[in-house]
Amino acid sequence: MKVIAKSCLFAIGFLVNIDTAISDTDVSAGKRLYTQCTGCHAPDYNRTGPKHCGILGRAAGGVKNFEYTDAMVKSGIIWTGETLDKFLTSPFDMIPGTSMGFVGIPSERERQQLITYLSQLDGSNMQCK
Amino acid sequence: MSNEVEKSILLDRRSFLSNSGKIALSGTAIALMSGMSPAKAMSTDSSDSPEQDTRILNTAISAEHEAVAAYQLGAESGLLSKGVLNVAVQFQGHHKEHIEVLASTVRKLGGEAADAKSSYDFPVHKLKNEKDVLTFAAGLERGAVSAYAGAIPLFENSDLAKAAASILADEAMHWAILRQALGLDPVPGAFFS
Repeated sequence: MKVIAKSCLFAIGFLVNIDTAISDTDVSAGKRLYTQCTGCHAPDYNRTGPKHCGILGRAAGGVKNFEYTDAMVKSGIIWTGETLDKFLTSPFDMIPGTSMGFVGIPSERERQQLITYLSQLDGSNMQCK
Repeated sequence: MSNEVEKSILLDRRSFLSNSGKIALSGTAIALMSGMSPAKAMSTDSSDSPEQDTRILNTAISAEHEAVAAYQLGAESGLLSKGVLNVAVQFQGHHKEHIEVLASTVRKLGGEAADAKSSYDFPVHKLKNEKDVLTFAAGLERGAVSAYAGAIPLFENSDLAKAAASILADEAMHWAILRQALGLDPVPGAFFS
């Protein structure tokens, strides 16, 4: 009985954490998720990966002074919410030959939160000025 | 500040996974990085994708080159006190060792290892004192930890998961020590997110 009670408390603890995460705004949640990207990317300057400021509406492979793979340059993709969602689901499946060795984000909600954060990295964002 | 950070062989700073949850690096690449002879390594895996392995390894090498350059920037900034400088140089040495191992693996796979860039777009204008430099370095290390924390649960290959956990631990030690130097709690919580 004690074991069951402890299990219930453990489960409730997880539910509380989940609920807390969901109550955050998508931008702030997306910003937290963006830490997964910061091994290679930064919003405002090129690193191992290209910068993300201005990504929405940009052609894949379109950041100046960044050396992309041929696969990315020739993909013909324009980054929109839809294409970002597909890419973040599985980079390798969408663009075989990309050098972005990242498994992808399985959670649709997390992808949308991250895309929401990325989409506000535009010209009006202080980080991008 | 502790100098007791153990050196470990880093395979990469990033995720090495394919979307299916299977490892993106072939068993051959992993075996080569663990020191197995090329002939034996090749015999352990019949589903190699050397081009993909080389591409991903080179991404890792590029990231390691960036880390070396970042620590060089900090070391030459004149902003670091002697103790912090010593640690920065030590961490830089770790990253150089990672490059040697990764580059050797790429060559064994028949590829050409990525070179360092001639210059890096670091936010130099934001680095005005020791705290800024340490914060910058801590951010780099944290990024690596985040990548592995998100990747490890997806590994199907237990050997690679073990190696990735070792990598995460090494990066986490760097991050914790940098936080300590910043006067922050080196281990801010029971869980990392």
